[in-house]
Amino acid sequence: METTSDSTSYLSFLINEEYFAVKIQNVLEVLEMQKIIPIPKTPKYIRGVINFRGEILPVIDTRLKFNMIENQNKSNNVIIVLEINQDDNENKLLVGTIADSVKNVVDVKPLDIMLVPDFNTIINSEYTDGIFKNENNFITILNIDKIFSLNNKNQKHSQNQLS
Amino acid sequence: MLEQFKQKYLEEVNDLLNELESTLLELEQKPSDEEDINKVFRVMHTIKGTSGMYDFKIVEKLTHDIESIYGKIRDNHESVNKDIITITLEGVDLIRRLLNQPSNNDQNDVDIFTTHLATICDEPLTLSENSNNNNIFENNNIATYYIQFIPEADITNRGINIKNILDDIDKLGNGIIIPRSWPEDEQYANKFYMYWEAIYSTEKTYNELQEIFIFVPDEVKITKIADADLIANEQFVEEIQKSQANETPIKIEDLANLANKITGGCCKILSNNNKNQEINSNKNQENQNNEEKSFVKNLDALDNKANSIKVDSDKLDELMNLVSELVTTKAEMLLLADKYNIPELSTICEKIDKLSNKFKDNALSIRLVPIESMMLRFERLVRDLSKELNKQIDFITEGTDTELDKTIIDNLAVPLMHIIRNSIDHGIEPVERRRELKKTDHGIIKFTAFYSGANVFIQVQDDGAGMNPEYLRKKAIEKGFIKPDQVVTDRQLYDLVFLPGFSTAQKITGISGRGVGMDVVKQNIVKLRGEIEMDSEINLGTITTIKLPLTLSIVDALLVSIEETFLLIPLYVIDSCIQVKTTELFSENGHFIFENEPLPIINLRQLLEIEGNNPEETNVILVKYKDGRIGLTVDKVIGEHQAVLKSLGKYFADQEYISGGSILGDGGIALVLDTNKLIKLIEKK
Repeated sequence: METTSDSTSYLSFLINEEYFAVKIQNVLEVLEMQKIIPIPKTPKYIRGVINFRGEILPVIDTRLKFNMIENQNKSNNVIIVLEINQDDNENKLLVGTIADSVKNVVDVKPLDIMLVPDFNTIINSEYTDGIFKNENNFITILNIDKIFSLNNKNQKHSQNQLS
Repeated sequence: MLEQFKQKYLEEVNDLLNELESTLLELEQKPSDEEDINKVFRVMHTIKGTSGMYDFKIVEKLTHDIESIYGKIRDNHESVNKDIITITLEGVDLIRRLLNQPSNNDQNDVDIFTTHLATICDEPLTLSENSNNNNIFENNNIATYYIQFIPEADITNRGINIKNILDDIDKLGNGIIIPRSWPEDEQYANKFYMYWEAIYSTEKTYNELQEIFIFVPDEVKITKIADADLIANEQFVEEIQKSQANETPIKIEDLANLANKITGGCCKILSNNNKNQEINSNKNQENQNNEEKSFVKNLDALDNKANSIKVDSDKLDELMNLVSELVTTKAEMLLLADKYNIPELSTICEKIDKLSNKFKDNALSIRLVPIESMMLRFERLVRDLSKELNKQIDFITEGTDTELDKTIIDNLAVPLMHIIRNSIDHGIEPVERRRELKKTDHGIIKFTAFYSGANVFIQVQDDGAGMNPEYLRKKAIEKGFIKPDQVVTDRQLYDLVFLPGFSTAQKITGISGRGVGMDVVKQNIVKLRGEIEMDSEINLGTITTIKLPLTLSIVDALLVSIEETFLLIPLYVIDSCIQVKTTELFSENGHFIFENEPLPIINLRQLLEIEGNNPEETNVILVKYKDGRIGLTVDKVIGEHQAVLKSLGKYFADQEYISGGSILGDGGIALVLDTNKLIKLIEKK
């Protein structure tokens, strides 16, 4: 899977002026922003569904999910289509997530990945897989399996309702 | 290659076992049905044959033992008893296990089984016919037969095990089998390289002898030489052994003469003069006719088989996917034809429209499977469980020819098992209790399936104890599902049964009442876009009703819109559409009168939280609801749409009013309204 023997490729992107990254092998496609069909009576961070290759794909707004403010400049917005592993299920789950813009693909050696200090990012360190430095920027690796898992969706759901 | 054959063999045997199971259950009802007894015998025989071929020695042995018992029962014209049925069913289970999950313990299990089998069958088979049995044994009519078995060259390719046939011959009684081989000559090229002659003295009749050769009727000749036990005669045996050295087969005349010489006329000899030989050959002729008849019968059976073919269900799923794609693409093309207004294209589009509709209906019908296909396990369940619990239960089925999508059937068996199990365990009372209540000793569980509109209903009804609403209420309060002072209808109490952790069993048994159960049943049914409801009356029984859609994948629907949101309403629930001035619609008292009746209205815009205001003229979709109708408000009615239903995915699993989505011709997505939920909403009010 890896391009070189000991480094892994990550797709980096921007959300709320913070850099994040996911393993490139989990990325199916990056789509231009398009009309998202809202589903009534769902938590706000689930923006709705889009037609992705003839199938219905749920789209999650990461900003809303992590209680960040909504992005005002939407011109560069993209939908990153991710493949999620579910703990109890062999079937992969497809999810679209909205990012402000996509940066680039970076190769990172495992040794260069550090633990995430709790105060570093708005995202709970439980949902991250580490952090690395690239061109003077710190990039947080997201644990998408955990973030988008259905189990914690319910928990998030209730949180949202409370707030 | 071998794996492939093995797979075939496993499938075949599984089919045979299913068939056998239903025969056994029938047999239990009419224990002396000779046809059924014969069927059990034949099926065992077939399994034995094929198992031998594929070297499943262990199965071969097992089936052989069971087959022998049924052979005996059949030959003595006895009837079977419960013990025999039970052990045969156990045998069926064992064979299934041996084939599907082989383990190191197999030999041991088989040994235990055969020992058990032997003890049961050493006892007299039936009590009532005991005296008859003795008669039969006293009048043992031993006759001697000459059998010539000349297999064709392709016999091994037909899945026939020669060794089994020879074994069966040997089991007839005393006798001699003479194996012979053909001289090397062109004229025998179409024959198997060996053939066999056999002379046996047996109590069995001519027809029973034919049974051995049921799969090779054209390759065998059976002639009765004498109505006496010639094999017991040393001189006869000596003569036969002498002729064994000859290259050529034994001549029937020689045998007849020999027989005549030995018995010296003290016994009736059939072939000692021309006249008798004629009779004999006439008889042969007759038998041959019989043989032909049975052969024709077999052909008929083959024909029936040829009318249906087995298809891998994955292929069917693939077909359905393709049909779905086609329907979506067709919608795209129709849109294009409309946009550019090309008459020629429109004509072709119409044709494709019709064809794809037919195609769709056809593909759907292929996936439909009668409910019958899963009844067997329920019958078995009722039988086994009622025996275990010492209850007497009649299981009545109705409408099992009702067809449902295969996926639905596959996912329905487990929940239904659970419901039936509950009825047996908790519903039907023990006999003593039933007598107290002046009920019949036999409890009744009735399974009914029927169509209603685009739905299939399945009901399981028992005439047992029923559910006690007071008890349910107490339990619900205890478990915190309702508040002590809460007003709850009986119906709502019954619905509580479907909540997780609400087990009402007063005593936990191994069969049901572990607290997981009805909630899982409900989940399974809901997954199939179905609904489940229970109704009960103390001491009269419980009825569980399941409502299911005919098929899961394609639905004819009406496409409507509210602002930018496209919604689909299944056509089968729609009564009609009307246009009403919005001001009239939402009058002060909330009731809208239509055709002299108040019409409950659901403001979809409000319900689905879609921004904007209703237009001046609102379209109201009238949806059928029990005897009446309810109205749903939408902005625009766009037209009919064949919706290929897609799940919205797990993120929306707890979505309330939307049951799925469908891709539109322009690539957009329309949401499918769950009208049943909307109706529930009205009911709550």
